[in-house]
Amino acid sequence: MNIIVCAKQVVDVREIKIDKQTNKPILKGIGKTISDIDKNAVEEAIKLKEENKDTKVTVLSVAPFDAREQVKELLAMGADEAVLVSPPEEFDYNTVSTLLAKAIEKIGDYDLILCGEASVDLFSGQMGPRIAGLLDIPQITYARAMSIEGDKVRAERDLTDKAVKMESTFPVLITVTKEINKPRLPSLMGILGAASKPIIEWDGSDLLEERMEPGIKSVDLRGVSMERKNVVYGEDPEEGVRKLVISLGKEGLLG
Amino acid sequence: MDFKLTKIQEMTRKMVREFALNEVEPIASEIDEEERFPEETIEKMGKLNLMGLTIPKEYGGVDVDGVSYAIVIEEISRVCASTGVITAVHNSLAPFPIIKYGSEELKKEYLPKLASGEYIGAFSITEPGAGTDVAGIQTTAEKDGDDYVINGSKIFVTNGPQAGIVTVFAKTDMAKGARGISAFVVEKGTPGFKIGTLETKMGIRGSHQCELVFENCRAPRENLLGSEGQGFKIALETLDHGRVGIAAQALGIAQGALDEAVKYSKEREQFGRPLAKFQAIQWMLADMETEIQAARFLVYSAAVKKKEGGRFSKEAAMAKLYASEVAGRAVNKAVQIHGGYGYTRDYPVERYFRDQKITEIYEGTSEVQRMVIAQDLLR
Amino acid sequence: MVLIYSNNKKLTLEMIAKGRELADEQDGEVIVAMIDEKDENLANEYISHGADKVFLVESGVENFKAEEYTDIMANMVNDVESGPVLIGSNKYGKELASRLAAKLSTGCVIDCTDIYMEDGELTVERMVYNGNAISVERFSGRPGIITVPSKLFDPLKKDEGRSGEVIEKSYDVSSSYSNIAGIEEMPSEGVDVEAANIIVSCGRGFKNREDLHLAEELADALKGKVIGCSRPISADLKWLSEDHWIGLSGHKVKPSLYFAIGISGQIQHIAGIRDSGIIVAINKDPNALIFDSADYGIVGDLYEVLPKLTDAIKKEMD
Repeated sequence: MNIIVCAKQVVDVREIKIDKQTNKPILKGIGKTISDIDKNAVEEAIKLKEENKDTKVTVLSVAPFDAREQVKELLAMGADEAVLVSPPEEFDYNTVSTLLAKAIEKIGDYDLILCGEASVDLFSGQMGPRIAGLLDIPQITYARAMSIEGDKVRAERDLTDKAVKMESTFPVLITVTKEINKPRLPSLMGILGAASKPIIEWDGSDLLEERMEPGIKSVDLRGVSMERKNVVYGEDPEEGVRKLVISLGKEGLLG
Repeated sequence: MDFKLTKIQEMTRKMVREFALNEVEPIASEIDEEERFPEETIEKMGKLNLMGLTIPKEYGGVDVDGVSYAIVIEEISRVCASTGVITAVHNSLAPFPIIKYGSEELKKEYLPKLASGEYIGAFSITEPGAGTDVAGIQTTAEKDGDDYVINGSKIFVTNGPQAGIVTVFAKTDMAKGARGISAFVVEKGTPGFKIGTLETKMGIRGSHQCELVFENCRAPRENLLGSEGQGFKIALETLDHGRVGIAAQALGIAQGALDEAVKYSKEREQFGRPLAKFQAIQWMLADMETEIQAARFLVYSAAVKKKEGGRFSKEAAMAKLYASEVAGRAVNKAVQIHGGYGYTRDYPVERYFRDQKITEIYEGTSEVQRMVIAQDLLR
Repeated sequence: MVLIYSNNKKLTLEMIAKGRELADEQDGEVIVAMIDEKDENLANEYISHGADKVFLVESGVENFKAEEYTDIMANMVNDVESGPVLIGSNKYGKELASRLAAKLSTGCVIDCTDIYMEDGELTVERMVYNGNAISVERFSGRPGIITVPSKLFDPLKKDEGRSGEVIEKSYDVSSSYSNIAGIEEMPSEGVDVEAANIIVSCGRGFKNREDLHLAEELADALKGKVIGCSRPISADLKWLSEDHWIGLSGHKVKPSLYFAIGISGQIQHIAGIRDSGIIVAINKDPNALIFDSADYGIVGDLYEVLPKLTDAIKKEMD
């Protein structure tokens, strides 16, 4: 079986600060990482590989080639191969999903495509359903559990108000939630082994028949600062409680 | 000279740091308080190959480069010195004599078990009457048919109570002094091999040190490491390896103390501003950072030298001497910066302070390290 | 032309209000799609709240599936040459909107926080970077697909006199080979954290499910009565139903007073509480992230602090 996992390199959102002068988030110089829910998707693929013989796991990412460093960690976790597709200068969700779908077609022989339910930076969750739509295959989103039985995949979707059990033959695309598993840390053996696993680089413009105009352009990015008082009572609990109640009273929140 | 970590070293640090924060740090204060050996951590470390750092791949280990080895012990010790020393001893003192001097059978039998963490390894040399003076040990191993019969006792054996195998140094020829010492591997459960009393200690309380008693304990001939009389040489060589591990442990403790001091000085306010705004505090932090970075270079370079295979006694001694003393100053300053709170068990620096002291003592005191360095210098 | 779809009535009414405003700027119509809901009364209710036309469509599948629903919506968009398409932003709507956007090769914005016309172009705002920023995004070309969360817009007043058309439509649907094997209602305790003014929220610091009563007692003392929780309590441990779950993938809340008890303060949780008035954190770990996002905090064991706090607040409120 061939599994393709789509993973996105994102800025580490925990590090983002707002520039007080310009009121814009400072994105330069912030650490990059693989979006954490995508790691759940990689973990699920590796588990399936461990359970099903002759399974190959390919990680696919639309990202500048400097994402090699991040992608290596997914190879160290246990994925077999990675494909990086460089994006054009201007792109939107439509461009990126088209590049992913084209790359998947170029990889060719696929049974299962796994994505995180959304990326932690923008939290849109468009990629999975978009790719499934472009490839014209079924989509099973928000899977919190899944298993493969013979020529079928079964998954349980969490739709907030309902839990829906789905099944499908291959090929199929599944997006997973954080509950589905706990991503493993790469072992030292995995880290050493990752050095010799292939990372293939494709130029995005070669995959597109013609230049794609973005359907959406970001025209502004405004910082939203969350200034909090950060008064912490660290002494004994009795004293902390007393001071907290006084403070809440002053805020007019009691009674 | 390139001061940049390789991608593998970087990934190793990131993985171990994450492991340490998620699995080691949360129980660090508990295992210290309860003097509990963190068995659950060992199992997890085995899965990540952290128990087979120096063991060759054909015996189930990962045989990482010197710097990666130091990084693993540093990052674990940065949050918990007890788990740090368990790891250091298991990956250096325990497997080294077998890797270098063990027969093929011995390697096949024990190295995979050590690498997976199924067996924890220990090393026993010190005796009530012989610490630094190794040649003075009284434990004997008498040849009897195909076996050696071991009698005597050892103290301060790190990982002793948990050990699957232990390397034991004993005299096969009382007349020959240091040249009469031989080294053996003894497996747990061997008749006549008993675990004695546990030490009650100031620090590294999650790691156990105990007395081991040998009463007519039979080790088969195959368990002799190297040849008869090679024990003293094996011991010194093994200790060189061990010292790099302890140096990395001390480095980790120092860095952990600095981490806590920086965090606290940013949070804690006095006279209406954070401690970090006071120059007295800034200078302490600056000194800590500078010394720690210097220690790091010494430790990493000793680790590289160790892996190269030549003689590195001086480098190992300098790394351990300096890193342990830097750690001493770092924990002292960290407690000082915390003020009264630093003296309480509510803050981890109190534990770091107690844990650090042993790094200036075990596997050769600072005085012994100076001796080794001077001897090498004046050769 | 503005096209609107949701499987949720309240959300549909809210979107009609916004759709009306957008349509009026362009002398267009508001069309509501009702899929697999043969309910003429509801259709007329939509008209009296501002819709011009309601299309009644059958999918041919028993329950919602994005594949078939996308076919219907794509055909409908082409049929009416729709401009903005507003889709209700629950999980059904989001996966539908995204697949639809791919089929139509167009732009899509999920979870908008505002929609307006600027320089003659459809413009939308949404939260990004975990609530640290608002991105203003502009569509070029039609149709622009937007998912709209609940309670963002107020429905228009009912106007019984309004007239419109209810039209039965049928579109080609190619059926997908995935199957629904079972549907279960998720347990719900009917809690509305999004509307609550005071929330006492529980995290992993609680050791047992039974201990949550400590939080309930504090909520009672505050006359708040609403218990929230972080992801693990609901999604992993299932101690509380998902209507209690606060965070990026749970509910976003804006009470005047929020207590985070035994909650470590993962960024996803913080994103759900950003709009709160005063945030109070209780955690035994002085380094817990939650203190960075709190106005007031007590470092201490919740088992010791909570009873004391509940008592003190009772006395204060008397």
